[in-house]
Amino acid sequence: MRSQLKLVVGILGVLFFASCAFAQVTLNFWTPFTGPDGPYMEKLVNKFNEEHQGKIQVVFQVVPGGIEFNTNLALAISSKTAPEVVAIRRVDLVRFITSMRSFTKEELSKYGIDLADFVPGPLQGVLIDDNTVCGLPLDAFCLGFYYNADHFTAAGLDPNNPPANRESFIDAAQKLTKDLNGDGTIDQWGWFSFGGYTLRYVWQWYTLLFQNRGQILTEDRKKAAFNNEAGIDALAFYVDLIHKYGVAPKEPSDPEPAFASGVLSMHFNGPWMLNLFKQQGVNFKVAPIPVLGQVPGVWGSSHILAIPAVAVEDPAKLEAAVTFVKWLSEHSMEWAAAGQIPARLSILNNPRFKEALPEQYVFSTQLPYFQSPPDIVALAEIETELISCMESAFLGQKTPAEAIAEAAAAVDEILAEQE
Amino acid sequence: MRRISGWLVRRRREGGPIAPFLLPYLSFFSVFIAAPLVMGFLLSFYKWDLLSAPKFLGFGNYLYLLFRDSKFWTAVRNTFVFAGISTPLLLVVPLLFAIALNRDFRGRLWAMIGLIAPSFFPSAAVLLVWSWMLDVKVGIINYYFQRWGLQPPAWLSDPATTWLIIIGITLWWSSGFNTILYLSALQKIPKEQYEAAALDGAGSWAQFWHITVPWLRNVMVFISTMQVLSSFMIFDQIYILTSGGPYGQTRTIVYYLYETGFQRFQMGRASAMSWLLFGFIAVFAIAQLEVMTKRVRAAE
Repeated sequence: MRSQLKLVVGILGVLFFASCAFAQVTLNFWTPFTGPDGPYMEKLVNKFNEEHQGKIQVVFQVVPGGIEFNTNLALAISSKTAPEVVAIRRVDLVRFITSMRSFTKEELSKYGIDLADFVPGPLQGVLIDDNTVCGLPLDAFCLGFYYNADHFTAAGLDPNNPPANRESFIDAAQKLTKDLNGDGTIDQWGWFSFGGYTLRYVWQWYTLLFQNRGQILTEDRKKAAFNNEAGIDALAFYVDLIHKYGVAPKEPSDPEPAFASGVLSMHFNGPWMLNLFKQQGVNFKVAPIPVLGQVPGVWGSSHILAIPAVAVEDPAKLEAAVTFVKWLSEHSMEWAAAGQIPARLSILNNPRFKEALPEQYVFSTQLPYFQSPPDIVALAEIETELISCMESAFLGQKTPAEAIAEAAAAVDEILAEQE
Repeated sequence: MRRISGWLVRRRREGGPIAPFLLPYLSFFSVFIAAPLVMGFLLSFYKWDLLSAPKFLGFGNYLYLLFRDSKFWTAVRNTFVFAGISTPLLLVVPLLFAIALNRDFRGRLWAMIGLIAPSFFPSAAVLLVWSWMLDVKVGIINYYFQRWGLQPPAWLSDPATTWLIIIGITLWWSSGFNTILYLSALQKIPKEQYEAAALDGAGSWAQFWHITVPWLRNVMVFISTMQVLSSFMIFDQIYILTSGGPYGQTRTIVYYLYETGFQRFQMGRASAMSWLLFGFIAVFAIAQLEVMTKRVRAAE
């Protein structure tokens, strides 16, 4: 009798736990965060799981960004094994817009999400029309001006007053480029124009192009619109730093390890480098990108939280996915600690943000004039062409005008092929 | 159908049914080789981006590649250049290695390991290490260039040096396997032939040309055919070292195929490209076999 009772209790217990498991919704969350920001996101996911134990469990996965992420996602969507939530770069989302679950403003407000709270620039990347979005910006990022405070002091420059325009930037670069030990070779450089991560050449060029009031493509997105003074000057400035002013090396040199080790004094990069440079112990400050052109401007983009439509046909899954997305968006200040900028105005305007993350705050001051390249499928290919044309200009093999003309022709060809 | 079942039945009477023995490999072959081959061929007549429904184009992809895509022809030219230079090198250099290793000398085993082992290293490991060694700022090669007072070149920024490096690394990496084939063929040559030739007054060059080469002809046919095939399919070196650069000058057919399929998501066009590549290889392989086996067939 006793053993029978134990059996019944055992079975009831199993059924109870099983029913909890059945009541619990499991979500797969794919992210491209292969860098040091990955663990920050994992911590956030674990926190969410703790707070929603028994109701929603999120499985955090990292899939390297770019071609691998896109191919895996495309295959998963077409075989109906897609994750319920993805964190995807804006430039990669373009191809998948029709595969993502779209939400109207009314639907979102039912979940307690107000689109007016999002920074307009990043929001552009998810708007299908004025009333519908295909995702929510998780964060925003743009270039910022990193500079070595110790080098500035040693060169007689004020580290609290970094260059804010072209003349003072060039002047600072000249003062910072030195032969420290008198052996005839330069040991400290004011600037590196190229080397290392090649997409950065394009980002710094976009930044100056936007500052010169230039555009990358025409309104109809069928042709290049940068083969003009704005586009040529945006490249010529960085080429002149190498060949005319001699403040940047002639061969490709990776600025990230150089800045971290004190070989380079000034550098434009994203907020994701903040933690890395801090760890390396370099005494640096950040400032908004100086106005090297006519108006303030900076390249930026964002990560977007999106929900593949095939994965959320079950209403319970949809509910859980939106809950998770909303939670992440509300906790974007904790995500910002990983080196990103929140995309929510309420968080940016919160004084705690400026206190807790002063460098990210400096980056965020650029959000009002932040610009992204057009959201088109061919962008990655266009950027590859831009990179190789710019390289030939940096190496002195072509003049900036020739390189830009060649790039424009290549971009026109790529756009014509997009049938 | 009747003939096949008749054959199976006959076999069953002789020693047992064949079908169960064929089944494991046949199922693997059908699912992973035959089916994708057929589906890939069919796909080449469609436009498909993995996400939306395929759209029938007929010969559209083939016509585009052959008559409107200059990048494709650049990739073909680059591939032919690579195949044209690397194939003779990978035919001759391993032969020299094999001849050197065919005699007994002190340290022969270590020389053999040194020359042959690289061909067994995985491509990613080999190419990553080389890319680090060739790095302009922190690579060990340029470090020594600087120490010896030479101007360290930007190895992968100039098309000419880039091809030199790709061919050089491929030679270093792939010679080993061909060396083994030559070595085993060399060891089959009867020594009396050399002795007889020496008695008749033949010098080492004459002995090489009239004894060694004829004996090696079969192996050479095999190696050159295999080499042409693998040269046409070069991908790893481009993917890891150059990504098709500088300025797309090292973009080869398979790398362009990869870009078309996985970067642009033009699956149909990528498939068409792979079948065009098959066509090029088939033409070359058949022509080559014809030419190289003419003498063998004539002798027979």
